[in-house]
Amino acid sequence: MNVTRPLLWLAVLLGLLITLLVVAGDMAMKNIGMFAPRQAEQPLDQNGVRIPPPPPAPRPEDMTAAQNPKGFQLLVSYVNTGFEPREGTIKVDDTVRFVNNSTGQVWIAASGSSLYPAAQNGCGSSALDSCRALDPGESWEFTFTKKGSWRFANNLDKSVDGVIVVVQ
Amino acid sequence: MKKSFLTILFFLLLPQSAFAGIDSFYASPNPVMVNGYSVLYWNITNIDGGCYLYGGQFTDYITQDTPYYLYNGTPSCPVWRQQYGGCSEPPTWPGAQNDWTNWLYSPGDYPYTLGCYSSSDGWHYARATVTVLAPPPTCSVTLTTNPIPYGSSTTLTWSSTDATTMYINNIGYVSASDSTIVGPLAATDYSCTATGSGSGGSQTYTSAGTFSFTVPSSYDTLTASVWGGGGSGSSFLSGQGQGGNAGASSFNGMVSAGGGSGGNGLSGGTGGSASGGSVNINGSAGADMSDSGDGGAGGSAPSGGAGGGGSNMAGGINSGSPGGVPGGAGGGGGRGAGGGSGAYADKAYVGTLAAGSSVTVVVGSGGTDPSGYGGAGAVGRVSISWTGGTSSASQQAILNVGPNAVLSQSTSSTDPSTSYTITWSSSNASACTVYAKSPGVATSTQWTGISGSQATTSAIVGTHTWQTYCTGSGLNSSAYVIHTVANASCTLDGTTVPDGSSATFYSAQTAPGGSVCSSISQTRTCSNGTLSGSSSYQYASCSCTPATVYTCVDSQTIASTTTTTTCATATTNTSCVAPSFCSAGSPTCNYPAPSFTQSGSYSGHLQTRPRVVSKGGTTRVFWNIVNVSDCTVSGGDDNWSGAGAGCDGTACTSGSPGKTSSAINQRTRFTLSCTGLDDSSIYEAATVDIAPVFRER
Repeated sequence: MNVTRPLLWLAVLLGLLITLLVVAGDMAMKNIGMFAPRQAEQPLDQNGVRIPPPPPAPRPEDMTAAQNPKGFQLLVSYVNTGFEPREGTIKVDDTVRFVNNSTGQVWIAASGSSLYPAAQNGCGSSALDSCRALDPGESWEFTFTKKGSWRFANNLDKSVDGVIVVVQ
Repeated sequence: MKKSFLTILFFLLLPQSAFAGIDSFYASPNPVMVNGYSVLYWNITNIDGGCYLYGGQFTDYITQDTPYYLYNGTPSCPVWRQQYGGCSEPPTWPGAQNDWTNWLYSPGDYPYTLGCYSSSDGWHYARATVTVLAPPPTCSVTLTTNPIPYGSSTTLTWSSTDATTMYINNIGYVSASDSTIVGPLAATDYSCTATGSGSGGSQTYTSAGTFSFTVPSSYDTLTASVWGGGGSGSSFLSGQGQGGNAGASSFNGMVSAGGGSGGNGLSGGTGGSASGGSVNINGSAGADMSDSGDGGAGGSAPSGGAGGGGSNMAGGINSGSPGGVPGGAGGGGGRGAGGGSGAYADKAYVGTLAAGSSVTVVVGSGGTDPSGYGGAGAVGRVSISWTGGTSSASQQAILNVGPNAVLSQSTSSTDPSTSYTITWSSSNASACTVYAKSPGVATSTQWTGISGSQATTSAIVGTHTWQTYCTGSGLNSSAYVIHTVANASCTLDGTTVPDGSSATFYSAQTAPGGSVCSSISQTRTCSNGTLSGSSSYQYASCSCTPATVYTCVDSQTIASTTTTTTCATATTNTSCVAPSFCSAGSPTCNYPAPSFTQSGSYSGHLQTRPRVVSKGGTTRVFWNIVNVSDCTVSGGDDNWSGAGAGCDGTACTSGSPGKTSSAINQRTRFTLSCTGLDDSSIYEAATVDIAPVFRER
């Protein structure tokens, strides 16, 4: 009986399985942000001013007439070094626009021990969740209707965080 | 609409004369912007039946209510037009015709028809179409504070007109107008770009620097206006003199130089010079310092910002005012002169700039006065606008952020021999200076650079202060490090004593019983690594042996002092009743030893008198002892004790007559046996002999 051929097939199958596990694991890790790459240095122009991401093509909701008349009261910019400002104070029912001005992705989500209440998006444990990674130039707005200090972080690199203090 | 169509058709079907006609009929300007105006011009020949005009949005009105018939029409400017203001526009017709200045209220094509009747050959017609364009959009961004200190925020407000989209860099698409709070930590571009549905646009550069302008993909006429930066005022209040010159602005070979600073000789700065434009206007010179020392006013930029006012020394104002944008010069501070303004130039390009090409734009900075008293010159500006083609507007808005200085030391060791490294860094700084100030040294050492490090050893005892001072965007930031150097400390038995400080050390780790640690301690002082005192005091801690020590407070009071292992002591007093007394070291009261008290010829010891008696005779027995609790005297048939022995508890005495013995018939030995208060025993004896009887034989 020739036993070499079955062993060879077994080895090939084992190799394929290991490859599959490595690829799947890598994708999973990237998805949950455990191995999110550290951001590169923020690019600057010849005058030392940060180069903004190129403007995306406007969507119908980007037309001036379609914009929310209430607007947003605080801009939180995510750059390669973190959130700016890292702490902001607004009033109840004010809106914060989170905009990704980094060269990578950012996923805004509630963080810390006191999460923003009422998960409404169905994508996390808090309503404060962009529910997806934002590409450079993209933005996401959230209206805070509850008083408190609401910590948030980049889901892809949770060491980068900030806090919104909502006062009456 | 139907009515208008039928009217046009009617005129078109009318017969025309070959001998008379409409030489010209046109609108100018054409096209026009919404809410602008255009004038219809015509020139007719041999029209004797009159004309009328209709069209646009007022077709019905004109044809039905106010048809203007021209009689004996004259070329180029009809009589009726001469009657109501001639042919220059805007027209000032009475009544509804004034609407000519208003009817172009929405984009579109508006046809007009001129119909004239000649008796010789009937009706003649001409048509002109006025095109109404949507206006180019506009956008603007303003920042409440610019620059902002590092870590702070400001309010950004924007607005736009005729925009279908409004985009702000680093923010995204926004509504037509609103505001928000921003707080970047580095210079950030918040330039706006509005797009519209019409044609034409603009782009304005308002921040100092070099930029690249992309020529619109299509345009009719592109006009660029260039202002140089304004020079700063000067001041001699703080010993400084010359203010700061401003930078030049340029666009495609058109250069508007920045103004000069108010300066030496207290004369105003010169205005910048312009070149390369179709219009070149040199900047205005600043005013000289006044005789009373007031600062001269800054020069105003041509078609630009006003110059800042000079200081008013009499009014207590030492600083000049900044110039207005663009290009206005700063006013002079106290004993200073005004700066010169930036120059101005403009030029129109009709097809000479290739669509889509890049043109370098330079915006000159305003001058700043190093003394701080002269008003700052305003930044220059480059404004570009175009007609036709791409409909967009951009305005530059760059929020600058002040510097953040950071300073650290590798070790805070106080050892003078330890080398350490000072490292400084900064954000947003254009320059940093690091100062090192050592105690007792009048001048400080300096290093420069926005980041760096310096390895050093501070040998001088005392506090060394390191400071980094960074400047940038007109703001500053400082950071400090304190490095304290002291003489060497002393370490003994695990205890470190800083130089100049003292600590208690012990000669043994356990104090002898009955004594406390303080009795075997010594305070030793550290002096640059050496402890004073005896080296036998080598222990940093000490414990006590539990013991009780008895001492005398006075002759009748015993003090019992108990010491614990922690050297805590407690004292209780015990009183002694006389004749007991306190004796140091004794836990109890001590009693005096028995003693014999002499009285007359009696010594107090046991004595008999007479010592020789005749047989059957008696004798007297004497004793007088103190400090005894009891005595017993016996001999022969006698036995005295207790009270019988004359004892009262502390002394026993036979009394001065003594005790008379019983008859003594033989040699009798009297003994005295006493117990002392101190529990000692006394024993004495005295013998009485019988006198011999001599018989004669």
